[in-house]
Amino acid sequence: MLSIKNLHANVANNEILKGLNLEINAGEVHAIMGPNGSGKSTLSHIIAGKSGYTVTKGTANFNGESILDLSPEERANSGIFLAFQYPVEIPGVNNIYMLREALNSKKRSSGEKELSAAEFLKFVKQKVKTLGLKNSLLNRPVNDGFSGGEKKRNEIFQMSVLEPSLAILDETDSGLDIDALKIVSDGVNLLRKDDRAFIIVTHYQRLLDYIVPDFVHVLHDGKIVKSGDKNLAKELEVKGYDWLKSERKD
Amino acid sequence: MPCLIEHAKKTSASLPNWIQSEQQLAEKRIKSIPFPNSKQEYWKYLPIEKLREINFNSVKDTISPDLLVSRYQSLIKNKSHKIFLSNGKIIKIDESLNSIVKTYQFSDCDELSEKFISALKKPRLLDPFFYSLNSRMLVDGLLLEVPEGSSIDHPIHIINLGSSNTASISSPRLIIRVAPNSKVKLIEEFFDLNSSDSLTNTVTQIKIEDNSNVNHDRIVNINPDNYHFGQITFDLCENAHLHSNSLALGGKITRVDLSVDLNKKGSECDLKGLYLCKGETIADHHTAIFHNSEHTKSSELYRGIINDKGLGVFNGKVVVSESISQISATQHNNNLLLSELASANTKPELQIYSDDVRCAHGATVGQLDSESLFYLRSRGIAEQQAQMLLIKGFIEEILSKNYQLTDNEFVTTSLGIKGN
Repeated sequence: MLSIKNLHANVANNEILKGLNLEINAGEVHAIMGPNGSGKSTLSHIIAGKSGYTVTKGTANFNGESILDLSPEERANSGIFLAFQYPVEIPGVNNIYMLREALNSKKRSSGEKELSAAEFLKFVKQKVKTLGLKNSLLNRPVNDGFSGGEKKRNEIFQMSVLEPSLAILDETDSGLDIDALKIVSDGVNLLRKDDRAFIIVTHYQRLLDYIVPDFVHVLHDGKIVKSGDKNLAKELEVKGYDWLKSERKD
Repeated sequence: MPCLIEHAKKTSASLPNWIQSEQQLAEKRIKSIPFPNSKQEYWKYLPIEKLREINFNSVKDTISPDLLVSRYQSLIKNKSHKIFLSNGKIIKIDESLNSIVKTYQFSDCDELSEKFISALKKPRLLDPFFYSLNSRMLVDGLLLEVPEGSSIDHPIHIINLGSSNTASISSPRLIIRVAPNSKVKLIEEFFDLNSSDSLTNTVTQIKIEDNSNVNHDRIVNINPDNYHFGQITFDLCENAHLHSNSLALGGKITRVDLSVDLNKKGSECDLKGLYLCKGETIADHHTAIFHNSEHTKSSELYRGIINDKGLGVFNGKVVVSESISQISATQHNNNLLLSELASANTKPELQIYSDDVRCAHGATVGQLDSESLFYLRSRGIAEQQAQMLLIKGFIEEILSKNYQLTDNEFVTTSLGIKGN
């Protein structure tokens, strides 16, 4: 599904990614862990198409096609979704209005019929119910005045509406208390499917107690330095990241 | 001698004595006041000198009133009681109004009742030059009285149709008295039929008496080649409430001077405004709120979106003198620039000499937020549409509760952008 090979990327002439390789297949959940500044968020942003990054070398293909020249909206409409670490507050724009625009954009791009306001309302209300959220979420302005937990829940809700084939969760656990963490994780687990892959970017192993990954990768200094299964995350929790740094120097 | 002043002297109309004495007074004033220029603080940022050069004519509309009215296109979707005016003269009025309010033309009033005199004689002269010019050049005007205890369902919609003559100048004048214990929605709209380098120089004076509640929407929807200078004064008595919304679309120069006097305990005003500029159009709002009594309250929110080489100006004055206590006043102005050459000037002018005031203010000038744009695009929304969503979000707070507009198409038209 997603195939990244030898990816090098700069931000303002500083090389952040230095030859990153990652293969993700449908149905898999990959956790990407690593210390601050290792390039985790850069990787998420580059996959989603945020401006400000320059790819200098390497490839990133999604379902066999290169995504590096695509606009963020083209990537989204091809099935990529980024749950933001810091969801943006957009006063004056209703959640439901924004989501209908988004879903219909996707439908337009794939030649499907757009949903009318009534059809869409029915569709999202079902999603709200499935995730155990409140209907009031729909008519509030996007993230405006939301608590940290509400913002992250809204990201998961948007994901459930847009039904991506690849979902990237960029430090979704940051700023969440344990209850909010559970709600968000339950949401993600509900959305796990055979034809949908996840990239969970996180600092801590805590989130991975709730969303159990198939693979864990450690990102350090712009490269994946170690990969393993869920036990690698536990090992990191005990030992920290320093042993990897020293291992690499050896 | 500037054309505009030269012209003012030549105008004469067969009007009643009370208005003629106003006109004589105005003529004297014009002689003693220099023509405004942009070196004066009050006219800063505005190329006001331009007007001096233009040889304005008086309005000689040969088009029939019915044809004029038929060319008007409304932005308002709701039912309203309509009055159509051309240079101060009624050209069409809905019959439904007769049973609701009293309307008189200046030319039909040999004498002015005490109540109206107080509305007329107490104008807060924000700019004496254009005020006097309006008085001097009056052809006619409208007096409107909302009787005591009225509660009017549909808005009273006063539509001033601009002249279709080239470089003409019209001087509408409106005096409204809202008698005590009334509730009314007023819409004052200025609509131009074509591009004619014309100037509309208008004055509106509204007196809101005890316990009355007024919603006043002011809409300037004119061609980018025309000029609009508007002065509006509100005089509020005890427990009177005002909601004012000012919308400025188009106009080579649209200048609105709006003042509110909160004269008695319990009087309150909430001022909102929106200006949209494209091309080289200029929208300039100067507002002034005078807290003349204790226990008065004001809030103000103006927003502007400027595209191309447009210019938005906002100057908001709030005055609380030393002896006045228990005051609450807030003021905010935000500007969104859509192009590199667009500009905005914002200036809060808080003259607060009392200690017993709760006051907050803020002013911003910025561009569309790139994080927000990326957020929407990452949800699959195309760039242009994402921009439009953010623009709509920016003005939502001003439009949602106030105007009853047909749709948002005027936003894209006024800004010269695409979107839906």
